[in-house]
Parts: sequence; structure tokens; C-alpha cells
Amino acid sequence: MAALELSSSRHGDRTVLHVSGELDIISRAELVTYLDRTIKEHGGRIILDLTGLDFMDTSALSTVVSYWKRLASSEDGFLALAGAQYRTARVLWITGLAQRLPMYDDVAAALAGTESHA
Amino acid sequence: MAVRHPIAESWQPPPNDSAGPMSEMKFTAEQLPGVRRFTEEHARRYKVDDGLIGDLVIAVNEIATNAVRHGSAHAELRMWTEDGRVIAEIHDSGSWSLSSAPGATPPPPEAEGGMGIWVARQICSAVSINTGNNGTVVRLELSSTARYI
Repeated sequence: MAALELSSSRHGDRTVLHVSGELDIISRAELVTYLDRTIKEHGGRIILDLTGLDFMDTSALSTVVSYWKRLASSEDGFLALAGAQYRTARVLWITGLAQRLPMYDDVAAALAGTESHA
Repeated sequence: MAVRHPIAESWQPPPNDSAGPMSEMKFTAEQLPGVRRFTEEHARRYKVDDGLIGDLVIAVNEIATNAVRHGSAHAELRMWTEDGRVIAEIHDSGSWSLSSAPGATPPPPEAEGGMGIWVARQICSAVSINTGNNGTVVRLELSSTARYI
């Protein structure tokens, strides 16, 4: 089964970060490194694409929550989730955070929903 | 290597005659993916409902993560079935300092950690924690067919 794989694509001022494989207490460090570099280079408008995710634990969820809070309180930043499924990201629902985090069915919906009107 | 692990000596045998054969796995933090695979394979072997297997994997992974994060670098998972339930015990050789009922209340809405035991309690029919000088054993029980969340 897959280790963690991270890649990204730019959509105007937004970055879609594609996460595939397993996010746990060890592999979340890779996500942190990737997110920090992306934010530094391209800014804090981030869509986290979880379509290819196989597993996420609560420590990885905590990481996602901390970036969501940090970016939401920054000027012009946000973190949205795309393509999260119950089968692979069930901690989102078990913890109730699925109701609090900005979630979109897929990347296309996330891009449409986060379009800047500036 | 012939190093005797302290866990092996403090472990209690499974409790009664109705228990099925036990499977065990030693692990470190780097082997948590293997713990998830082991849990999934055994849950299938024990005929746990498909929809519950992912829940069980979450619960075991959370407690196993706590064990190697807060308990000891080396920990052990044991699984067996008993009276239509799956039992998973996670043992580490550390001693947790616990509140009176860890994980009994939900984490705050925007918690950034400490959700593991609470999540396991949402999933499992019973969660018991025994901690002392010989280490910590967390026992998870899940009915093979009933859903608790």
C-alpha cells in the first residue's frame, strides 16, 4: 500500500496540493514541510485534494486543523478540502470536524467555490 | 537478537476458553502502517463486517500511536475473537499519567491533538485502560457486526 505522495498544481493565486497514500503521525511531517514551502513560495490559498488519500489519523487531522486555523486568520489565506471520502478520511466525520472545515466534493468544486472576485 | 522484551513478561493471557487463537505483532512508530495492515487482515479473517473494518483500523491505529508516542518506543498489538467480539490489546512498557476517565469527553471543537482515545471510544463498544509499573494495556472491544457510531 502507498506511502505518502504529495504533488501540487497552481491555479491562479491558489495551490491545489494533491495528497495520496497514508497520513499518520510519521508521514504528516512530510505534509508540514510541503505546506510550509508552498505557503512561502506561493502564498496561503490552499486546496488540499484528498481524492487519492488511503488513510488519515487524528494526528494528521490535527495538522490539517492547525493550518486551516492559521490560514483562515491570515490576510487573504484559506485552506479548503476537496474530495474527502468517508472510507478513507473517516476521522473527519467521527470528530465532527467535517461540519467545520470547508469541504468540497472535488477539486473542480473547490476551485469554483474559492474563486477570488478581486 | 535474543533480547527479552519486558512486554512479553508482563502480558496477561487472553481471559477465557471461548477466545479464539491470538495473533500478535510488535511495532515501533515507523511500523504503524504495518499495524493498520495487520488489523485489517485479522478483522477480515475474523469476519468483521466490511463497514466496521475501517473503524477498527482507526481505533487500533490511534491507541497504537499513543503507545509509541507516550508509552515506549516498542509496543505490541494482540488480537483475537471472543463471543462474537474482536478484542485488540495494545501494550507498551511506559506508564501513562491519566486523567480519571481519559477520552470520556469530546475534544474541544477545534482541538489540535489528544483526540485518539476519544475517537476509539466513539468506535468501540468498550475501551479499558490499565496502567501501572509493568506498562500500559489498552483493550479495545468491537462487536463483529454492530455499529456503535
